[in-house]
Amino acid sequence: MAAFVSTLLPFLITATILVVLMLLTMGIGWVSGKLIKRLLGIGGK
Amino acid sequence: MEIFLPISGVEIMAWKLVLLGFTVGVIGGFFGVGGAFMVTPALNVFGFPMAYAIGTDMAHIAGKSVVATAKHRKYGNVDMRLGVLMIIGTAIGIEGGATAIMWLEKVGRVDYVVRITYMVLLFGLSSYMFYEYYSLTKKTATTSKPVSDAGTSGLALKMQKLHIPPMIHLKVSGFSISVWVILVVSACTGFLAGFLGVGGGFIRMPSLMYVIGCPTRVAVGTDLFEIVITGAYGAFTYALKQRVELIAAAVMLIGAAVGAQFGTLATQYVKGLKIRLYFASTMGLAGVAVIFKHIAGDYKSVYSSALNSWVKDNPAFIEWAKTEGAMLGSVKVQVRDWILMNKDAVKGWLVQQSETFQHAKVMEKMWNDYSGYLMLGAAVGLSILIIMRMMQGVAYEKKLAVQAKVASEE
Repeated sequence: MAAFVSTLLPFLITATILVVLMLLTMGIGWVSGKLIKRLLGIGGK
Repeated sequence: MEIFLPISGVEIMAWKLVLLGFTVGVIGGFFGVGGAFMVTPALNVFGFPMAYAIGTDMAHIAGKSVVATAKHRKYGNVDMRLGVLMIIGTAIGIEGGATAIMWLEKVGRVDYVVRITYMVLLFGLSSYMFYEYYSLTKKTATTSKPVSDAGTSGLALKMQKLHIPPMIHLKVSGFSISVWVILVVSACTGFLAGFLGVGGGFIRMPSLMYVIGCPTRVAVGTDLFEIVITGAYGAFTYALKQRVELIAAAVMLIGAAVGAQFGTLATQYVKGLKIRLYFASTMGLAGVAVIFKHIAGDYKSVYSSALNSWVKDNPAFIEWAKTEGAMLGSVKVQVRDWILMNKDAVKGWLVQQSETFQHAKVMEKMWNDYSGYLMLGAAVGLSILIIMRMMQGVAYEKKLAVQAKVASEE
């Protein structure tokens, strides 16, 4: 069991860190997208 | 503000990373490419060791592509069916490309063949797209009918006429095509990507336009969707090997997330034909950067075999190869990584060598720097140009809206 966990742990930690990084990026992208549209004075498509 | 990167042990100014992330974010969102051909040499110029530059770049590409793909999907530029099929073909092709590289390594001509193929591809694509742009704009001048995007190429029309079952209707792209055509095309582009050791966005984007027959914007969006998957996989494997500087990737992603918004929005305001013109310019500049790399490689070959022999006999390397370096597989990769991680020891060895070796090392660095500065300059210049064109488009749209309002009131 311990060997299984120690093998799996690096995969899980790496995946979690990357997912958090992606979510943060998406958040920044979403907020900046709204701000850019507001600054340029454009609406939808 | 200077930040310390714990894995590679280098210090770097945060604004440089944000700027690089932003510029490549704009370019990636606009052209539908990952932009590794720009980021990796530029990071190297900033003092980032190459082994960490590639992994960090992968994480940045994956994150940026998520933002750009989400935006392109909103605009209806992502053909999911096509994207999924392309991923399957690409995975098969990459394996084939990697196998070809291993065969070339045995023959001992790998570096030369890869660089020449890279140059031929970049200059070939760039020249064809320039030719297409100028022949279409000439047509516009003679017929006075504005051309906003190139039509479906003759090759793509032939491909779409191949009725080999199963056929698939691509709703977003607006045509039906054989699944086999998509798989073969993506396997070929995947093969080239695996062969050149690159993400391959710059090969896939034109192949989606010229061989499959997608409109420019759909080619950009669909390619980005594929980059999300390949980039995420690459970032994961590099992170497992501790080759991703997470702090640097996070800082770059702040700039990239904003840049990708600008780049994606710009595709709505810049004509498809213009997107192709800017893409051709980028490919041409990347080709020049590869020539610089080629010259650097020639200088490196002067001293590399002597250096490799010294490393292989070095007790510190032998010990490292048995422990930490054991997971790297081939001795060639072990030697390459050890050199990257032990720069001071390599410098000490070089000082004791002949003037010819020392001169070659200086020249190699100089040409590598030229390549990095060229790509950095191109990234900054192109992103400014793209944003300016977008602003012009927005201003023109507003002017039209005002005119329409006045007309309706009258």
